[in-house]
Amino acid sequence: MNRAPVDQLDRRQAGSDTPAAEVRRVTFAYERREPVLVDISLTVPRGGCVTLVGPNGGGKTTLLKVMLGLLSPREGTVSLLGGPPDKTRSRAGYVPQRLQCDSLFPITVFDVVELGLLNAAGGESRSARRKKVHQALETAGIADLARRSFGELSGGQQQRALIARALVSDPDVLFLDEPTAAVDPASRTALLDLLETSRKGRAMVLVTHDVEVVERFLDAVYCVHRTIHHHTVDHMDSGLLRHMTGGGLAEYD
Amino acid sequence: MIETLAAMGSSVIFRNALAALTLAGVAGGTVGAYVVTRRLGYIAGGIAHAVLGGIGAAEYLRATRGWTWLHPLWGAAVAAVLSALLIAWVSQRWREREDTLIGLMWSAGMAAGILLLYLTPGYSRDLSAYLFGNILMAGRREIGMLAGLDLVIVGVIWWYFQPFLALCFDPEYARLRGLSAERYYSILLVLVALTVVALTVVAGVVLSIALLTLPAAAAARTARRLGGVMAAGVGYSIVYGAAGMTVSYLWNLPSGPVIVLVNGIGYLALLMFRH
Repeated sequence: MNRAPVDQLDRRQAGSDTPAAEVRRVTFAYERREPVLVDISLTVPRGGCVTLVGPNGGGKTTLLKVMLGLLSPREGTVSLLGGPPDKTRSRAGYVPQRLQCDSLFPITVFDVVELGLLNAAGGESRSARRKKVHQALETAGIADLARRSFGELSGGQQQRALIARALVSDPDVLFLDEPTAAVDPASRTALLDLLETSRKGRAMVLVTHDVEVVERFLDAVYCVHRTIHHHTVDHMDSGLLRHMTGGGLAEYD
Repeated sequence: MIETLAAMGSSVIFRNALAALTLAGVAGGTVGAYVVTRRLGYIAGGIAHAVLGGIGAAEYLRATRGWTWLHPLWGAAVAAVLSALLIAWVSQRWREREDTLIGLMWSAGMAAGILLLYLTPGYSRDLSAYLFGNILMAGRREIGMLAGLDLVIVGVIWWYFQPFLALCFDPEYARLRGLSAERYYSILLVLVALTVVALTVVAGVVLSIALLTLPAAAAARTARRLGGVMAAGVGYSIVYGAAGMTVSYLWNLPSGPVIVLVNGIGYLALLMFRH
């Protein structure tokens, strides 16, 4: 899982002129309320890493869900892996905020990861699926926790399980929503290493408040606060990053 | 005491009741796992009370149209499935209205049922059999219907186990993997509806919700996987049910309420033991 086979890398790089994701002039509102996102445009190149930062309630998670086709924009268009997201999103991996999952639900780590193969094309045999799940668990460094209940795990371990679920289908693009939130410092470093490993060969969109994550995965940084502001790497420094992730966006509007 | 128990064991009525209880327990234990883990108890309660409307309509049609073939349980099944589909439809479009709709079905379904039974010419049976159940009235026909319901319920769960698991654990991720969350939610609610009908035979409209939730809630305290919750839920349903029936037989008490109380005591005991 760490190293994608050659044909998979070829697949990811094939059509590299087509972006992994493209958002054009998108406005989104929940039902009849005020728009949460206004006139948003951004491009995620194949193999590139885009980081979304900004204050709480600024629309980062909403934008992620619009890009995945889980929410439909009021205006504008979204393309994922060259097609409409509802047709192509099964080739995307998604790591939601950990607390979205019910920790009391009776499910083992193995079963959580296996859900990442749901509706996978090809009609694989049970043993092939189990092998893939075990590979993903090993990549995430939680192979020994396969039989444990998901609810018994620490925050960092649960996050790893959700990353393994996203990786098990070998996606072309990975979307992560605050992967290091509520994770203890010891688990955090290992988690960042895992994200680095997961990135190889594939595009990545990261929502985060974590300055270290932004610095480590710096390709392009977009600040989302109802509208979107693109920050080039050249003009980026820790102070600016800290300000953007901490919510002091007004000064940069 | 031993003679009484021996008489109980040889009684055809008791054996039929035990068969009905076991079959209802299979449905209640398996579907109850979803009700407890997905927190569908309030929806199940709404469906259970709407069922009385279907029973009332069936009794009314039997008496006024001469449709003697129409067993009240069929009326219950139609009302339950229609209620489930209505809730699924409303919750997908106007989620904020779901609670109001359930409340409406809860009260209006029951009111319609009571009214229809009142208007049924020559209806003389005690309404409490429908409200609180009378498993001793279960005959071959009821047992056959319960077996049919079990086949449908267990078959659908076996076939859709993974999609239901995804839907209950993380519905958004299920959608990402291409599942129609709306479709599977509707199917799940129909299963809940059919199970409510099965449990109505044991504990009636009012008490059936306890049998849908308590054994599964007890099982969820001990099992680590959804399949384990289902298996243990079926086990608890049957064991608590048989214990409740025995107590009701020995002390000549109504079976439905006693079975529900035994389930409640069993759940609380497990809760204290696990703490």
